[in-house]
Amino acid sequence: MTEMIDDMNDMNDADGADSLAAAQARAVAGQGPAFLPPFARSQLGTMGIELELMVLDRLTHDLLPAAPDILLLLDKQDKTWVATPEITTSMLEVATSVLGGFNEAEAQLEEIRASVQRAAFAVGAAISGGGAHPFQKWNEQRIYPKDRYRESARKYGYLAKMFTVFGMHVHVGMPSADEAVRVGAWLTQRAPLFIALSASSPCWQGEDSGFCSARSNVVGAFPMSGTMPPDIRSWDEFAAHFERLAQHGIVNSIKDFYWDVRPKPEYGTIELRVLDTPLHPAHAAALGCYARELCIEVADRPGAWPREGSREVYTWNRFNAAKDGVRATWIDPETGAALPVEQAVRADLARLAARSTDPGFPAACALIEDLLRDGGQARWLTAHMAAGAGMNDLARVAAEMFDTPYKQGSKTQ
Amino acid sequence: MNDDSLPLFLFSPLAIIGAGLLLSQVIGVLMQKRGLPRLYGAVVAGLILGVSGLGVVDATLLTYFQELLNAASALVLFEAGRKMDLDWLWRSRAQGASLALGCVLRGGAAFALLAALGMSWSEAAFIASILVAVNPVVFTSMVADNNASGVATYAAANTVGLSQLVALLALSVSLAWLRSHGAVAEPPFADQLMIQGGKLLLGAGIAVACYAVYTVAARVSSAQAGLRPGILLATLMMDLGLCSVTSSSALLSLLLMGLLLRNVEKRDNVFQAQIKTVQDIGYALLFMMSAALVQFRDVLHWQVLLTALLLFGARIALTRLALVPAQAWSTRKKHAIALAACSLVGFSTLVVDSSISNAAYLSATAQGVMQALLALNVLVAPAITWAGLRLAGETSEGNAA
Repeated sequence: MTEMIDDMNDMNDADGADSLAAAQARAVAGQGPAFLPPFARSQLGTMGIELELMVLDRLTHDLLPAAPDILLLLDKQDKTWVATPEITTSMLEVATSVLGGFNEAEAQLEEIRASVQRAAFAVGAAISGGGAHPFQKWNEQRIYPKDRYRESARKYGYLAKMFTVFGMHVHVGMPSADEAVRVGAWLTQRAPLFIALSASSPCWQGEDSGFCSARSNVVGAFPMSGTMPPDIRSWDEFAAHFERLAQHGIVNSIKDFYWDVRPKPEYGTIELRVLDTPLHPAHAAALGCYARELCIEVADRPGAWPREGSREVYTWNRFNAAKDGVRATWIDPETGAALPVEQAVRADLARLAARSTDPGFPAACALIEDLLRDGGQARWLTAHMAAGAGMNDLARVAAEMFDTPYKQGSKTQ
Repeated sequence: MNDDSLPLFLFSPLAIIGAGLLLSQVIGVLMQKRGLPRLYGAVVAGLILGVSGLGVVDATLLTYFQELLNAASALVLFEAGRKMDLDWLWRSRAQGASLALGCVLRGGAAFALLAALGMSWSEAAFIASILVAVNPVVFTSMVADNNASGVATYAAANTVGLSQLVALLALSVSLAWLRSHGAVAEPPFADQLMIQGGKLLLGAGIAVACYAVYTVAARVSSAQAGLRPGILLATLMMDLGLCSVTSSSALLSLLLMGLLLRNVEKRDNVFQAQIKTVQDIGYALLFMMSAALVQFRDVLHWQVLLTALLLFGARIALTRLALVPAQAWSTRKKHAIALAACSLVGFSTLVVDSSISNAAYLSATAQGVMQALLALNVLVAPAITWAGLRLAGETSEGNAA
């Protein structure tokens, strides 16, 4: 496998890139042999954000299978970002271009928000953030008519439709493949903090789940969910791991790893995948920058690895964060100290703000501070339920939050 | 066999209708197993038991259920109003305008065609007004039957409500004209217009009053969303009752009730939930339409049939033509919307008032055309609507566009 990757690295011409992409596409669609592309090195601190959005009926606020129609309209628009389908036709994925800092992220996500909202309205749909639709029925969802998704439906059965959940992924550029593995291990430790901050899926299949992020529990049903094994300490070790699993037919491409943090070799990034899509894209920009600053900080401590044996602590932290959101307790895997999530996050932000070179980072911190108030996004939604709102109304409130540019304090309207 | 030997239940209109509905369900399920729309069970059962078949169910028998039929029609209109999204119709610009243009083109073309075929202007205007409307029973039932959901379904649902509103307004004018120029001496046009317009205004006033009652009742009781259907039912009954005693337009009234609840009430809106009962009402109404309206002798007259086919086809073509300026839908979706909105209504479906009948004011030719259109509608409109929803890829997984 390593030799194959080295061979691939030597292919610099356009044909080579095309053949890599084709091999990757075949592997992802399950129509070709297992393939792990070479790690494309990128600049540390560059960033990309992907958001999975809900497409809603404007009357019932149930999920509406209108993503293909919205994508047709977005395809006509000149833009630097991309909009793509997801596994079911009520899901829409948007991804930013490569970003340099908070201001750029916030501006582009606002452009995306406005464009997607406009296109959806034109066809009679609404768009919403949030990690899970409060009352959709998984069996009513329709698989997007695309080979990859049909293959997933065959492979995973009902889990494919159950996966109608809406996450946010943050990509942070890594200068080398080995650094991607090392920084990824550090970022994994803090992934529960991002689960807590982004938690916005309190309801599941028409019931109050009792969790702030019900979405986080759905991913666990997939066989390759979890985290990268902690004994993997280099890209070569990861490639060997991939090859071993591929020989068993367990994985065919990097996309078969549903890990909370995984390397994304074709982009030259590590990808943080645990977040619920925030109710407003402005918060997504802020959370993306938080992850970016953490990665830059770790990259400045070359050779340092997290303590071993922290996997059980991670699982516990993850559960707590999904359950109680920003009011959860987080056990620091390095010190063993149990801290309120709010305290851990504020300590991180203070430390990162002191060293950050991103002029927009203070604004990002203010937005994250917003997410810590009133119990976080999930509690903003359940407060409506406590006041007597039904599930339809909960979905409507979330859609209305997405509809307009973000204003401080608008969350409780 | 004399009457004494027949069981009593054979004389019960309710039992006969019940048996008809049972037959509709059985045939519908059998058809569904063969990949055909289940709703056709109601059509086939109507043909078997109705005036074209055994003659067990006919217009006379249906008069026993006039009040029930009126209420059912009004409830279907309520659902049509509830699906009208005024904000979208207005702000989507080209999309909303194209649906409104479709109403105008359907009515205008029907008027021109009927006048060109020699029908009097007043008769042509009267029938053209009716032909503006898309049948909410056929559309809503087919959507519910196929669990259809998507942008074409949404657009067609808005077309149904919008077309009913336009048709009701146009009909009040054309009916006034027809009655003032008919064979029977009646008050002049201006007076007729006041009468017809007055019915609509009264219906609208009752809708607003009942909506206000609903709002106050919901606020006073602080009823949460899940507890409001009872308040809704009571208010709708009040609306229907007030309309029947004042001879006002119950259809417009219920349509407006749906419209108000959809577009004014925002927070904690119980009516965001789907109303599944309308599907069952649709079965019953389609069965009765099939039983009483389809008379093959009307359809088999070639000149009448040709005129009806021409009108039916022109309505679909013009609805499609009106969609050309809209940019948000793909060509496939536009075809689908035009097909899904192909069905038409009869006079009695637009005017719930048993005291008047279109037959009294129409010539034999005009009546023949209308009968043929209605028969054609029952026989083919469900299938075309079904085809439209499938073309849109909005009925089930695997056929998405």
